[in-house]
Amino acid sequence: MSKSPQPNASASVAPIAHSTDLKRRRFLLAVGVGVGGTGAAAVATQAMVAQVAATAPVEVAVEGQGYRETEHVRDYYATTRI
Amino acid sequence: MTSDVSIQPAATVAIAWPIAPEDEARAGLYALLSRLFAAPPDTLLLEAIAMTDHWTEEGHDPLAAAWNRLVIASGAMDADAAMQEYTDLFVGVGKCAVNPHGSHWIAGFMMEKPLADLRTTLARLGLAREPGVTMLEDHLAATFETIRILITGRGPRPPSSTATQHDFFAAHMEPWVFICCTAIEQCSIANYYARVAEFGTLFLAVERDSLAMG
Repeated sequence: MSKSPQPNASASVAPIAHSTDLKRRRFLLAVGVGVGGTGAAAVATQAMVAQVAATAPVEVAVEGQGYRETEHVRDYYATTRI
Repeated sequence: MTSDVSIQPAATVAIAWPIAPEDEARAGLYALLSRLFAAPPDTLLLEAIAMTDHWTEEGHDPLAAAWNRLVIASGAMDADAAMQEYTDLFVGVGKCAVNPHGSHWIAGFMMEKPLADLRTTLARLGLAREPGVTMLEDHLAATFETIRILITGRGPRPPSSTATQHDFFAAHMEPWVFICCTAIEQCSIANYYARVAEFGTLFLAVERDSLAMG
């Protein structure tokens, strides 16, 4: 992939990935996710604590010596909750 | 030696990767929806939702309005009724009112090719079910949890790119989550979960549109 840039695109110096991400973020802010969503995120944090003990459907597969939250560890975390 | 007992366990269970506030909010909303579809809300969760601030509804914002209805419904709902409704709606082989599994909606049967395709994708992404978990990967709750992990990363796993999130959404969520949530919303026995599904549908539409931007 060594195509030369479009002749009339020289004014745009920002990488495409950056500008589209900015567009996406502005869109999310415009619809309320990010501003209104913060309260929900706080609730969700609480919900996640419960979920870790309850279901936690998926997790990172074991690769090498990476961290893994086994049932044993999850049980331990459950004992640390009030 | 009293200093030995002063060591406290870590307050968080995973390394938090730095992500944009909007992405944190998205992850939070997915976590909440995942939690609500994984099991009925208990009293604490209902109270926590009920106590959150209302979103401002400038220009009749449907997402904000739906969130505010969910907040109000959470204040009016009790945990026993939520458990009964959840059981009636989602639990029971062949008896549940609305099947929360993707394969059912895409292929017409549970545990069909769409689930196999999803498992292939999960393996490629380095994700798998926790040992001992019986929930299928194509359950609404598991699907939301999966994309939440793609957004936030988890433990040694960094957040996934927007492109990866988009691909997962387009391949494994878009074909069925809207139909499923609409079915919940319109189900005659749905009360609290009609509000959950209504907000879910609108949030997922925002997700579809924002991820399509790249």
